[in-house]
Amino acid sequence: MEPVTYEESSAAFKARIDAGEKIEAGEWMPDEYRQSALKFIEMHANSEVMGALPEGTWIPRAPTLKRKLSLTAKVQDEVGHGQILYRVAEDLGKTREQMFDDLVNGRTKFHNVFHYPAESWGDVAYIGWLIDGAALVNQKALLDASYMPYVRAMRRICPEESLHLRHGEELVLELVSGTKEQRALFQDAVNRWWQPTMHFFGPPSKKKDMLLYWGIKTRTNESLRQEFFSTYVPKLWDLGITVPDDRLAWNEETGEWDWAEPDWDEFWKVVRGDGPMTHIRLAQRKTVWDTHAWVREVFAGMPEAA
Amino acid sequence: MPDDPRLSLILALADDELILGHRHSQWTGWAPHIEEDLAFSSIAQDEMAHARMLYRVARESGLTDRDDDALALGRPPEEYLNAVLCERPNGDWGYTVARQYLYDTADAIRVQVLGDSSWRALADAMKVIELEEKYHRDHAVTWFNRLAEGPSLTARERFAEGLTTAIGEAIAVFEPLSGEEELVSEGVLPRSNEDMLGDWLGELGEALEASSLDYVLARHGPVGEMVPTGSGEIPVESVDFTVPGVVRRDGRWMHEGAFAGAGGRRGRHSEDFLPLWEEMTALYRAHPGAKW
Repeated sequence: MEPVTYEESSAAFKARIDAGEKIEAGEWMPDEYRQSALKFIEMHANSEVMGALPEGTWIPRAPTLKRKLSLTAKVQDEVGHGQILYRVAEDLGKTREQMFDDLVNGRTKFHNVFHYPAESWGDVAYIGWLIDGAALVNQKALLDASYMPYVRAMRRICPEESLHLRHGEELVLELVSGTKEQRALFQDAVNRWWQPTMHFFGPPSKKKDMLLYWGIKTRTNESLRQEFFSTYVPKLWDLGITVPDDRLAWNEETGEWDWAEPDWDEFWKVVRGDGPMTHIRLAQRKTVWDTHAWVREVFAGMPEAA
Repeated sequence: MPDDPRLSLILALADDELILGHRHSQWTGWAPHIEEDLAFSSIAQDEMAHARMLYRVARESGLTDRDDDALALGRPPEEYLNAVLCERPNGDWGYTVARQYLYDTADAIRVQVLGDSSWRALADAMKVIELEEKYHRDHAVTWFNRLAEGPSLTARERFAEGLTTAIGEAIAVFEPLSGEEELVSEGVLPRSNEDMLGDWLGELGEALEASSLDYVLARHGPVGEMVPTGSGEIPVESVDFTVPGVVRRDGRWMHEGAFAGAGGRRGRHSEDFLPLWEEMTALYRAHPGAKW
């Protein structure tokens, strides 16, 4: 029977998702689905463009020409991912201009890790390997999401992220096999970045997580964090790098990693938009945005308002 | 100054590309438009890669025993021979695009001329560089047309301001090199900088006139304005802001006499260079011999 009420339509939609069907942009969808998908993808896009900034500060300071070139290319890729994702989000009903305006004015969010400063080349290596590694764990899980335009975006983005990961790994290997100072640069980065990395996966997922319910996300925060541990912790230990979590160990009985809960207050503070670099980065972005409205006029081909 | 004029030549070329590429890359993640962010990052990478290619030619030709990183990041400030134009901060997008337009149109002439250099390795490198520079020029010309032709008057004004700021120093891209006569007589530099400058200014003047932007070459102002004073309003004295060394004669813009903003080819830089150099080279210099 054809669904007749909104509830019936929503239920039929939910049944399709549960059966593993994919949703396309122009299709009917419950408003709750549209809002959830838009918010999630918009935040993802915001995170790509904000994620360009911490690493970007090291382009002018890169220690060799080769690294200067590869870091520029890498950061460029992140901006490109932002471009792709904003396009996906736009189809859900919000213009890129509005999304950017909301971002620079602090009305929308971006991932917690991009609220922190990149203090040294060690941080560039850490971000390139482990933040990109964490992101890739997340993004691979999104290849199976219910919103097909997002899945297609992920199919383009994931291979590039895999390349970034190798780039990051190479940076790390050079540091840990380099001089004492270089090694210390990386260890120091691990010490400072570990907690934000734990935050990156978020607190354990709630029982009814809207994103999981609608298949916009496919795996819980905790399962993603566990995959991250399994992939990267043994490698870090192999390199002789200490991870700043005394409880971190593989638990044979539970078949999971034990780990110490990070400071979630710090997490929520950052999520609320009060991280160490949040205000500075947004203020700089807003300055460029506000002082360059004329560039957008040119692109829009719109005559100036009188 | 390098003893061999060929080294002066190739360092001037390479340092221009390195330093301007460095400036361009500072827009990565910050450009006022996302597609433009991507485009400008690509141009930055091209320029820096050209610098690397040229540093390698210098070494492979036996002019220096320093590798490309040592040349790019390991020289004292006074050994960098880039034009002052390249080291200026990005400013706003108007200045950025104006500079890119001026630089890449100037560079196009030089790259083409050096494609015929008797120094084979340099000529070969220039042929490769020319393939990519074509896209930079297309990018610059597209922006020129968009900004100069409207519909946004603000955009046109910002662009004109950028041109006004950059033009004098852009002319000095063609500042003569040390030992230039020798380079020209040996065919290493098939045409003198002065000749190339003549071509460039002629073309530039035509393009600016076609958009009524030639006033950036000869700015007389503010003529006819009145300044209020205690004893009534008096006319402002007309100030001549004409770009030094540029005149229009027989329907064509040409160079005559002095250079503004010159010195780069002799390792003399503006106040903006030292902070750039410090930032760019600090990490390399702090860890001698380290691998990254």
